[in-house]
Amino acid sequence: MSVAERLGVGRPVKTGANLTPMIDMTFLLVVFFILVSRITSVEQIPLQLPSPFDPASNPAPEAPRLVVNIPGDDEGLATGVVYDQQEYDLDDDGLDLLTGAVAARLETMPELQVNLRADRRVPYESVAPVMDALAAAGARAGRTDGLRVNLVIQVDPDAGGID
Amino acid sequence: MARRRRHPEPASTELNLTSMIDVVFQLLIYFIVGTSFAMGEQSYRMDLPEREGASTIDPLELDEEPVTVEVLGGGRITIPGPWTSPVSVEHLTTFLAARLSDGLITSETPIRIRPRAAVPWGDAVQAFNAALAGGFETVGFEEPAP
Repeated sequence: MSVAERLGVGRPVKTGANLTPMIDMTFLLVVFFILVSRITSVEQIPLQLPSPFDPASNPAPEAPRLVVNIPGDDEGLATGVVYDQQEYDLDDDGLDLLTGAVAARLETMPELQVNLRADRRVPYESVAPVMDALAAAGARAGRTDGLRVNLVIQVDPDAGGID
Repeated sequence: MARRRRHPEPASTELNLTSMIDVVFQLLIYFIVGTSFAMGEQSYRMDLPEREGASTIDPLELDEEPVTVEVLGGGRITIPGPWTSPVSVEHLTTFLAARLSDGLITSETPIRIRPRAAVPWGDAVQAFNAALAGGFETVGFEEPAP
């Protein structure tokens, strides 16, 4: 077998699109979507956020943050606190566990903030203990001048002004 | 030259799409990441101090008397103090602006939002928002009123 035969000289030229890079990119895209949907479903669990009239709020900061969710059930009552795929009860034990978990994360990164996403129908008596637990976590992590908490709201572009 | 004419190179019939697809997917990813994360969500900055336990702040050194806004639910509020309290959260911003021009309070006066225990979080945030819209720098939440 000569060199020319081994290299296929003289055979018809292969025509056909090279699909390898496209498949490459498609798989990359699939992986991306799987990751993003997982991340968003973990952090942004669906709930009815407060949407005040004439909001004086700011766009969500780019700083690294933890997301603490307080979802409401069908009647608008809080069932627990969801943080990092875990649901904590709203009693003293559950909130103690939440304080410990949040404090452990806060200690790892000094610029970490907390986003508090609470359902608008949840009574305040369920939200206040969570804020206390977060404050306690901040104190335990050595945030002497207080923990930066972002109260998340939904901004409706169709909502009118206050009057 | 004669030799090149006798054996011309075969014309390439394949269009190289790789770089175009590359760039298109990059753009697609960029726009998806840029737009669909938490659509329409905004937030209020709030510093949460430790409420329980010993405090090193001497209350006598506080130069500003805080204004407490009690949220009663259904959009009703009351503000205890030497003034005619507004009854609706819609008038909270104008009320605070009027007290600012009276000189009874300053923009550094702490505003405490104190919702009743059963008041929905949305109503509490509405009052919080109204106080912020009045230009106050220190707005916080208090323990729920019974």
